[in-house]
Amino acid sequence: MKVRRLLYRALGIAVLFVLAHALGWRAYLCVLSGAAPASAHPTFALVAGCAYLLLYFGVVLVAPVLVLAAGFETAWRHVRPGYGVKKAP
Amino acid sequence: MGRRLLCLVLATAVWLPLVHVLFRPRSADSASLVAYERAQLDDPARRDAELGRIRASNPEWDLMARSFYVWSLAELASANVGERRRALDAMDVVIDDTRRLERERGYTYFLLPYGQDGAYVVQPQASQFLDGELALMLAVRATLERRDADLAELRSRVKRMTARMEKSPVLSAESYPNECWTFCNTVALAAIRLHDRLTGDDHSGLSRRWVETARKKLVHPETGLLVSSYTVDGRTLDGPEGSTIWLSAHMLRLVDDTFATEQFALAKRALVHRAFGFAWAGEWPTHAPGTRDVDSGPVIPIIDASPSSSGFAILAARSFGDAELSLELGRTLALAGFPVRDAAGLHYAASNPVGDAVLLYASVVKP
Repeated sequence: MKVRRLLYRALGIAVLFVLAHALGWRAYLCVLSGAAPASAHPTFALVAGCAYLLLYFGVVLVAPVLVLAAGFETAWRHVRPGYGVKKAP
Repeated sequence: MGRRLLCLVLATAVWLPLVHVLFRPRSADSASLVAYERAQLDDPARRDAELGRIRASNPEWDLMARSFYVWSLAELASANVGERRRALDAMDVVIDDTRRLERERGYTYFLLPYGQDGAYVVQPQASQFLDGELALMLAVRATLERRDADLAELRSRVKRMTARMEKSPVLSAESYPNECWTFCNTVALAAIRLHDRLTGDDHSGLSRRWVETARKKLVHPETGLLVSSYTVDGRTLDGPEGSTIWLSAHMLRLVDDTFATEQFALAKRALVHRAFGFAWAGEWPTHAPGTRDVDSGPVIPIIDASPSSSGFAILAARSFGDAELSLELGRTLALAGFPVRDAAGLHYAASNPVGDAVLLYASVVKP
């Protein structure tokens, strides 16, 4: 897994979350309390609410870890310059 | 690969203990929660729409949202004399409307449909759920300002509740046919206690016998926690549940503080989970697993997080002055309650009107 790939994944989670937020899926989180959504099919609300929940925790818990891991990996390369460089056969 | 995995593990180990710093409960939240509830009350069309929405899930929540709002206003008014008149007016709107609905639609209006099926064991039929919550609304209102009509109605409800409780071997009245709920009976006991303070009547014997009976017949053997529901003769229907025990412990403070504190401590041990500065509560103890229903609401698997139990746990933690648990639960609420702050005030996207009202009550209740 390259450093850049870690950052892309973090960015991907963030973009998906922003998209879900912009689509108003936050309103469907009421399904967590067992309440019916104001205007949406209950199944769609359940899926959208759960997706929003997962993306939110992705942004809060997973994305920062990926960014930090990318930072640690970069720091490792500075400390060990040969690390990660493919050697010629 | 091993080094990369190590970087991910290290990043996780660094990040997780830091997350709680981002999610702190705010001291101004109670004012914002009140503002939101008031905005709802000032806009009857909006409030009716919200209540209609939760009634579609559970008609009980309609009454509970009203009750917790009124109890919250009473706490606010008792702490702030300048707020008293405004709070009393708001309480009257809710109480009068609730009484009107009971008068026009009958006591089953606030019950789940099965409340209309079958006969109650104890006659005449009534629901301890409605009687207890309305009696406590009337009692807290009368504590702030005595009105003869309110006291007369409170007295009448207390008379009916105590008469029905005395007919049960476990001193509990039904909320549904042959279904007594600890939630409802402890609310009723709190209302009876306040009624006695207001009128000089004395039902301390009933309260004392209720606690003695509960210790013998209404606690779950493995956990020591009060069960949630039982028949009129005391056969357990539902074991201990977070959505019941936290509020019941809070209500029992007015009845028997020692028993209440014991129940709170046992509930903490059986239901609370903690990690990285956050806390949340499960719905069922490990030794008494239950099944999901309309009271429990959804329970998030693996981490055993029940939004309903966690909300009530905040109320109990604040009521019993457990600052550490209150802070940790408050952080979880800030993280996973999805607070929505707008011009109207504060509410929680992951909640509903009854959840918001419970959280409002939790934010103003005094230890």
